[in-house]
This record gives sequence, structure tokens and C-alpha cells, in this order.
Amino acid sequence: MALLEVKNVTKQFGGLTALNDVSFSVEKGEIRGLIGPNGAGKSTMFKNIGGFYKPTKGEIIYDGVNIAGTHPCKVSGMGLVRTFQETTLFDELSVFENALVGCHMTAKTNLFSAILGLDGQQQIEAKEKTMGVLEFMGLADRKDQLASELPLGSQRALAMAVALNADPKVLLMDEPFAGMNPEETNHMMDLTLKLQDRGITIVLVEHDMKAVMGLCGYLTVLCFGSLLAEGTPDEIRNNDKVIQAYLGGGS
Amino acid sequence: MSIKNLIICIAVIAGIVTLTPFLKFQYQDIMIFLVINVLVVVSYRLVTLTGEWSLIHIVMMGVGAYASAMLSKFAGFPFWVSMPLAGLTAAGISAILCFPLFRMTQFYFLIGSFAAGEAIRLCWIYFINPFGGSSGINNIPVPILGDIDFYEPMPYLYLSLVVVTISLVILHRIEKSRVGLTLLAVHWKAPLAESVGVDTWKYRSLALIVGSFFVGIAGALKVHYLGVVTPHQFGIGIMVFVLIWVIVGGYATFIGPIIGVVVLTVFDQGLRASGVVDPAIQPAIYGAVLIASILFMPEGLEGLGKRFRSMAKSNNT
Repeated sequence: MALLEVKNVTKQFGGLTALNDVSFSVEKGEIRGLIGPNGAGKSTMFKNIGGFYKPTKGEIIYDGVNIAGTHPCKVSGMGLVRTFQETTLFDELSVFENALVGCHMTAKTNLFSAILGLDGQQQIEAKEKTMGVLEFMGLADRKDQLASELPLGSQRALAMAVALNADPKVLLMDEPFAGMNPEETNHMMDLTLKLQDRGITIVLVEHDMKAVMGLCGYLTVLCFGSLLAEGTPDEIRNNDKVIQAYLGGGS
Repeated sequence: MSIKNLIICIAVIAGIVTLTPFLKFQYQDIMIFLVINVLVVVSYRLVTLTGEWSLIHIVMMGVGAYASAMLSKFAGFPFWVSMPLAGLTAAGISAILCFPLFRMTQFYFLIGSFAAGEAIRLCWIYFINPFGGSSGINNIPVPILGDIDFYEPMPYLYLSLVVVTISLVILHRIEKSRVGLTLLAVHWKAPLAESVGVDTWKYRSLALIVGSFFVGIAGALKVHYLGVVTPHQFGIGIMVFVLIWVIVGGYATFIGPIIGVVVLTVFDQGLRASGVVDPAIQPAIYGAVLIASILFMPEGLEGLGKRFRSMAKSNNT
């Protein structure tokens, strides 16, 4: 059974239909690309899955449960974690503290144990886990720097570290390659593949075709809010409808 | 807490304990209110950690004050029971207020918290039974412990110091824990915090409830010393003073608001004692201090200290 299944999702904003009866499903362990020209509804779909929007119609089945309209903080607790378009970090906190916030759900704490110091063992575990994630992302030696002081590539890696510390089963990545130079893109692609090796299913919204074609085993193409095509990168590359949508051929 | 900070804390407390008996009676009073006000500003800072500045804090102090006054005067509870209950009452009322208030953020929250606070204050004025209307409740019993009489300023100062110190230790521990980190995370990037499972509503509420608990305790401390509680002790004017103390001191760190309330109280008393300025225009001077401090020390007095330290460091190297 598919891990994430989008069933007949429609999203309307007033009279505007941003998504029209879109269905697709993502298998466990794959890297799925969600692409399409500007205004195709990729981000809207993304926000529907992540709980920021409630679909007007349709269901989003994650791990057998319909999560459509569930609050983002609940969705992420279930293992469906998103990263953000552009760099979104706690700029004023250190690299380590940024990542530590990520394990909010996986190493719980509460007010009274914090006051009385009863959660010592848990805190040590949370810190070790965070260090492990930072090492995995290659950020361990920068752990005391402020997040805002990092170069762009490292900031994106840190954003992934925050998400990774929440123990995602599915990672929703919103344009992780935007604004990166080729070297940073390559590094980010390596990191993404390493995440897949850890058994994390990845859904990627991205404009960078080189990255998408290189990473994803299967692509879903949206256009004007509807599902246009699905297939492997090779199939999509040679799909007439997709070429027309991107190059704006007359119909 | 580092050893150095611990030594400074002990030195400050020892200083207060040894020097205050030599002060004039009137200044001993002021010292007690200063110690209580330290708890007011530090608990307020916990509320602001999530980035929401409320105007209800001083009213919550009043809720604690009224609760403790009524419990001890009408129900005969000893101070040692009514004081913690005062904190719990303030926490409970703020917990109810979280439902409407945290549907708002930023400016709307500020105004909403002001309106909620005024509504509570008007209840005290309007419902003469049991709140006593404008003249409030007087003859609030003085705390008694064995044969120690807390009517005198010095014993009451010791009592306040103990309560406030314990409260500050707890507030400090909260702030340095992961709960405190999560509060900051909610402040700086609420969507990112939500994306990893933080319930931002819950944490904003938590900060308000815990802050109200401690300011409720401060309220109880204050009115059991004064012996009287009135609605006018908790008006918006007093709240503005709290804001000035916190902003002038610097709200970025734990110590900042404490520095603010101490420096401005000393400044205020100095001004009064010198007789240079007519007391009637003192609020104007406070206003000028606030504007000047926002313009010239955006991080507050605490930030000024940091700047000097880094200047000294760069001179040395």
C-alpha cells in the first residue's frame, strides 16, 4: 500500500480553483518529484499535504489515515515533516539550538521536569541525537555559530537537520535547490540521497530540472491545477503534453 | 548557572540583607517593593519570550493580590496558603483568557490583553461585594510565623527575598531548559516550530500562565505588606512602568529587566530626594528616559554593558 495517497483533492480559493481533482500516490522509500510550470498548484498541493490548507474536497491518506485538514503540528508529529521554500531558520539561535528544537516531539520534555531537573537522561539523549544529526549533515564543527551566519548551502542543510531531528517518515521539501550554485546543488543532492538511504520517503517540489531528473525515480506533473502526467524522468522528458506546457505551445 | 553568577547573586542578596537595616524607614519600604517588582519584571519577561507583549500582566498581579487578600481576610486562610493559591488563581484566570486572547497575535493581542485586563479591573470596581469597589479591601492580615511578626519592614523584606529568590530560580531554570528554547522558537519562527510539531498556541499559553502564576505571587506579597488592595494599584499606568523597566533594562536576557527596575527605581528615588524636580513632572522624565534608551541603547542597559565589555576586549587585543 502506498505510504502517502492524495485522492481527488480539489482546493478552491473563492472562485479560483487552484487544484482540480488531483490524485497520486507515493510509495515508501521513493523520491517523488512534484513539478509543473509556475502557478500549476505545486505549492498549494504541498500546503494541503502539510496541513496548512484544508482541501475543499478529497482526501489525503497518510499511513492509512485521512489527514486532510489536520493542523501542521499534529501532522509533523505523525512523521510527515516539511521544509520551507527559501531558508527558514531560527536566525537568532545557534546551529545546535536550531536542530535541538527539531526533536521537540521525539524527545519530549515538560515544564515540571524541566524545573525539577528530572529529565536529565532525556536531555542527554536529545543532545546526543542532535549532535548525530548535525554530524550526518556535516554541520558538527559549526554547531555554536548563529544560524544567520552560515552560508546558504549550510543553511539549507541545517533546515534539513531541523526536519530530520523530528524523525520524519516522509519529508516534504519545498524548492530546496532554489538559488543555489551548481556546487551547492550537488552537495544538496548527495544529502538528499543519504536521507533516502536512511529509509525516508521524500516528496520534492522543485524547479531545478537537473536536480529533479537526477534524484527522482518518478515524477508527477501538475499544470493549471490538474494532473498533467506521471512517469519516470525519461518518460516525462519525452511527453508531448509536458513539453507543450513548459514551452507554452499553442493548442 | 556559572559559579561566577552564583557568587554575584549571593553577594547581592547579602548586600541587601546587611545594608537595608541602616536605611531610613521609608527606604526600607521601597526596598521591599523593589524586590517584589523584580519578580514582576522577570515573570513578565517569560511572557514576552514567545514574542507576544501583553498588557494584562499587572492586572494578573491584581488577581493574585485580591485572591490572597480575600482568602486570608474572609476565609481565614494563613498567608502561607493564600499566597500560593493567589498564584494559582492568576494562572487559572489567565488560562481561561488564553482561549480568546491567543486567537490574536502582535498588535491585536496587545490591545486584546489590555481590554481583558480592564474588564477584570472594572469588575473589582463595580462589584462592591465582595471586591470592595474603588476603595478595595483593607485590613488584610499580616503574615505570621511562630512569633515572628511580619508587620515590621525588615522581617517582611527577608520573607520577600526568600519568595522572590525561589521564584527567580524556577523562572531561570524554565528559560534555560528546552521548554525555554521552544518558547524562543515560537517567537522567532512560529511556522518552522510548527513544522517540527510544536503546538504554538499551547506554548504561548504556557508562557502566559506561568508568568501570571508568579506575578500573582508578587501581588500577594505586595498587598499583605500594604494591608490594602485597590483597583488603582493595577491600572494601565503601572503596566507602562513595567514596560519601561523591561525595555530600558533590556529584554533580551534574564538579567536585563532586573537591571532596568533597579536602576530606574534608584534614579526615581534619587530624583525625588534631591528635590530638583517637581514630583508632578516625574512621569515626563520617565518618558524621556524611555525614548532616549530606545534611541541610544536598543538592547537596553544590559546591552550597554555588553558593548563596553566587547570594547574593552578589543582594546586589550
